[in-house]
Amino acid sequence: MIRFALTKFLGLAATLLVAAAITFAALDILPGDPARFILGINATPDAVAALREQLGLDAPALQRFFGWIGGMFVGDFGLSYTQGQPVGQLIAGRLGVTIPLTVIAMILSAGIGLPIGILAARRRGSFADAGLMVLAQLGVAIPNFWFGMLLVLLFSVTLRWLPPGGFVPWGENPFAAFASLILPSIALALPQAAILARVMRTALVDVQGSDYIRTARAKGLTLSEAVWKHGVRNAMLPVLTILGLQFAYLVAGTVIVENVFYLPGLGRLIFDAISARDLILVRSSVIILVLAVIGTMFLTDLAYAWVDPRLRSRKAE
Amino acid sequence: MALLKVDELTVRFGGTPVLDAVSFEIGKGQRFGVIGESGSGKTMSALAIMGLLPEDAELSGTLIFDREPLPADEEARAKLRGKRIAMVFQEPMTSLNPLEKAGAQVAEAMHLAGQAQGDPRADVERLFVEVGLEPGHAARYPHELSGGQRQRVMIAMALAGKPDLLICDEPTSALDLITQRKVIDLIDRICSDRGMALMFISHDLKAVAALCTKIMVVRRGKVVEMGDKLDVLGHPKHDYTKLLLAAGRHRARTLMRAPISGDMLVARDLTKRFRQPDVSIFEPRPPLTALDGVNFTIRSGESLALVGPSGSGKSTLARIIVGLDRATKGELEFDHQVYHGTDLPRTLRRDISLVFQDPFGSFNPRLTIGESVAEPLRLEQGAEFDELGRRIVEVVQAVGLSPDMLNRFPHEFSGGQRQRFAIARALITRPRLVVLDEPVSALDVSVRGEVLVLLNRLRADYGLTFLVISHDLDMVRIVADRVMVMDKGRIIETGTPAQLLDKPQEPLTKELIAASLPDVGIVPVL
Amino acid sequence: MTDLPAPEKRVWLRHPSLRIGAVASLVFLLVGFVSIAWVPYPIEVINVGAAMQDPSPAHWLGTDHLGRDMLSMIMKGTLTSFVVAAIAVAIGALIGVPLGLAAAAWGGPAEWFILRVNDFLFAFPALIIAILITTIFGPSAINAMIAVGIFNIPVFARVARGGALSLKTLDYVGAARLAGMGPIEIARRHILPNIASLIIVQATIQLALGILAEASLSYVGLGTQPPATSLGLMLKDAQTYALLKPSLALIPGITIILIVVALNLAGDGLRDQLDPKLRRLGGARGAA
Repeated sequence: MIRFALTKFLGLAATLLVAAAITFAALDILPGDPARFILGINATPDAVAALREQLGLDAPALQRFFGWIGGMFVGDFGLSYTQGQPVGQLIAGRLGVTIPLTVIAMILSAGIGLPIGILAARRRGSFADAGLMVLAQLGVAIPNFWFGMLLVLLFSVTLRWLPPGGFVPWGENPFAAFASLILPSIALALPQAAILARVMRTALVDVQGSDYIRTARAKGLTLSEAVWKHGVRNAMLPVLTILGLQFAYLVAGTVIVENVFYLPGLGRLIFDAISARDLILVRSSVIILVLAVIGTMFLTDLAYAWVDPRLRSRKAE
Repeated sequence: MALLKVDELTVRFGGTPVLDAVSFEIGKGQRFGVIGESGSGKTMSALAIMGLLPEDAELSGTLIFDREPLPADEEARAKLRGKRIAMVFQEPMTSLNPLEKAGAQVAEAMHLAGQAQGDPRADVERLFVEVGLEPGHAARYPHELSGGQRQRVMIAMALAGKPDLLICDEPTSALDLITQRKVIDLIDRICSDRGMALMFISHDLKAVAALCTKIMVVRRGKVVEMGDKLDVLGHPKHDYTKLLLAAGRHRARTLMRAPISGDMLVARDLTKRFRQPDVSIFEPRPPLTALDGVNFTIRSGESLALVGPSGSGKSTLARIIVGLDRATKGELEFDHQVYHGTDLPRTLRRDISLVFQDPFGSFNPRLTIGESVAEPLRLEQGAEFDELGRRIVEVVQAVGLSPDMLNRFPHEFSGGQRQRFAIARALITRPRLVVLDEPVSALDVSVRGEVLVLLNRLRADYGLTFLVISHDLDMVRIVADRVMVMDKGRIIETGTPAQLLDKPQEPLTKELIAASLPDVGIVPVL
Repeated sequence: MTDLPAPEKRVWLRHPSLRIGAVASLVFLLVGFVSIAWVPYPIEVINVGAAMQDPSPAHWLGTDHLGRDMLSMIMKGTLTSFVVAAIAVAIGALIGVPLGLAAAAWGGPAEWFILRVNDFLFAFPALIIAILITTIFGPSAINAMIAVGIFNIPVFARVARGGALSLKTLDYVGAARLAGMGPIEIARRHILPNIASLIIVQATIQLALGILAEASLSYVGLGTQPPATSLGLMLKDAQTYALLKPSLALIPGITIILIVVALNLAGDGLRDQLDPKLRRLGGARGAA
């Protein structure tokens, strides 16, 4: 198991390095000189050259790349040249919004999606199953930002229960901070919950038809006992894969939802950086997103191996 | 008083009956055999007794077990399963929960049947020993066990509740010959030891004959014949039973053969290693040696059989000879041209052909049979279009089919017909060497005989040379002039069928021959 | 001569969700195509005096904050959404399917490499790709297509590889090799026709996802740019006025949902249709 984890971890590190290289290269070939962008069209060539040197833009690409990577290891992400602050500090400030938002959304989507999927599978063919699956079909089709707009209209504008947007820092008022994340995480979670419900149902229905469920029943279990004791764990395998992938969508989704609710998270930071052409900020934020996604996939792999002995066994006969 | 009484049992799917008013009785401790081909409904009878029919099945008729009707309610039925009636299924690969250790799965069965007294681990070990497993196997996951071992775990699980009736549905058909025999012997022994009634379902006449005292023959959902073993097998009344018996002991006519002459194909030190996927980059695995220095010669005009247990390298050898795979070491010489497998020159490809084992997988479902059969003709460069058309007609007629079937799609044909088309495809380039990989093992017993007769006739008519791969020794006796026995990638013994089958030298050959069950019945008159 | 045997064809039409989904998808597609030739009102004309009208015989769905006819906007927007999603699917399928087939055909290092690239692309959701592309080339519908298309590549590669691997071991592929066919010819004659259905199902699903992705990208300003319009862009505009006039947000939102549900229904229906278990049953019936 440890070796399995170590192998996967090396894979993760390699992927991350490639991701960093591609991001760096993509942004490095960007037409337009950041120094000129900062100083404006009327700047003298001398001033531009001076700023380039100050920003370290005149060094060879390879040197700058490894400088960037090496810096990230010690928490130095460089200096944002539009905001004049260390990028690490900017990103860290935003994670207080984005991480809770993602985690709450993940918990919501699993907490809603999985039970619905199990219920529908156990009552396959019933009215409840049909109804739940129609809801899931709709849930999958709803754009999360649009759903967010509706939530604001209903709960903030009409009912005035929750704030329509913005964010109160955790240090100021934790309850208000939490309250401002409720609607955004629901908007993020709902489509994902619908997907999970569908995957869970399919997986469980497949498992119900499997030979080992038949064996378990032949041993003296009823169908529902057999499904609970032997089916659910097997059905979790495909669900785990989807959970891992979903995290990627959730991370990406925060970028959108933070826009709907005017949340000062990582997503908004990226947008501001794009419009300001703040390359250093963009590339570091993108790498943080990619790290989150790849890291989750790594955890998914571990969880998968923990559930499935076929993956961690040495004898693969 | 019968232990199980089945009366007018009918099972339908969407109105179509798969079992039609079947009635039979199994007495206490009786051994009851059910014979039928795939799709005859024999499995459905077992599932109906267990209460494990698919949800969409409609069931009618009465099932009486130990004087009580079997309850329809799932919970009441579950209490009988395992404790009173247990079942061993056909597919050992998928019938165990892949995420739980074998021992735990058996222990669960004991617990459910209320048989777990004292130390559960000791109980499981005792059962494992009884079915011929080592106690250490209990700590393994299903994927760490071989097919035969898994089937033993299944049997241990079925025995855990000390049932009165054990139902076995084709328990050996997914296993290789030697393991098959061992599992049949095991079932025989435990039924005697425990005085347990047995319902043994199989398409294999010999296995049923070896185990059972009463036999029921099922065809298309109906009972065609039922009675004591000696009556049914000795004096079959129904034509279908006669056909099955005849197929089980096929005797092919001796035909004029092309004289056996010089060497056609020579294999020298053929070795094939497969790279195995590493467990991780820290744990590389050594390559798997499928062929380990194989030397042999096929002479022009002969029929050479290659036998051996599964995994012995037979199919790998065939794939290299026809050019689907490449040898790691060593070489082949055909017609004075040296090759190593995939580098078989295009000009020689028309001379060597292959008949695949599975007639269902060997035709593209989206192409007509004619398009598939004609496919190898692209190797015949420079031939006239009309000539090629004549070839197709000729070869289809030669395998006993009609050319107007060529515009139809594969699913419209039976397994036997498809295998005839597969043979036609192999012959269309007029090859000299035909490699046949288990040519009848995927076919129903009743059509195997006719395909073998066809093969012998084609060989005589066209002067073909055969390399026949098989695990069926009866078949080898009929079609082969010479036999090679293979084990673990090596050829361990060679001789004529008579020499090898009657006086085997090597332990494996002896084991193979001992594994084949005795012939059944008297020669039927068709 | 027919491609499919007759019994399969009848079942094809019998499946209710497939029929509903396919018909509804075609209706939306048709509405989109009509907008090329004709819309009730030109959407380039701004008439602030007629802004935010309720539905009326003149404007069936009312007008937006610039006085543009909502029905015309929806028609044009539907077309844009479809086109962006369809081109993204085409990019994904045209690159992904050959990659998947190549991985299955060659195995070894080639397969390893393709799989790693695949995993890698999975780690970049479409939005992150879009952010990168937009930063470099600026926002536009074309860049949105490329971003979603790149994200589609690994999906199609995986489907094609999975399908090809399951077919590769079948004997008819071996028979084709014996008949002297090369890998490309085998892929064309034996593999592609048999996995085409899988790919079509996946394309339907990706089309639905693509429409959602286009909406998201346009909503945050990385996709379609005015004066062109798309359903996502309409929602972006509506956000400001949603309080005053919720129908500005409701109409395009519901349109997106209906299109996506229609496509998903069609995809689900098709997949049920092609479920190996169901097919095996049909095959057995055919043989009997």
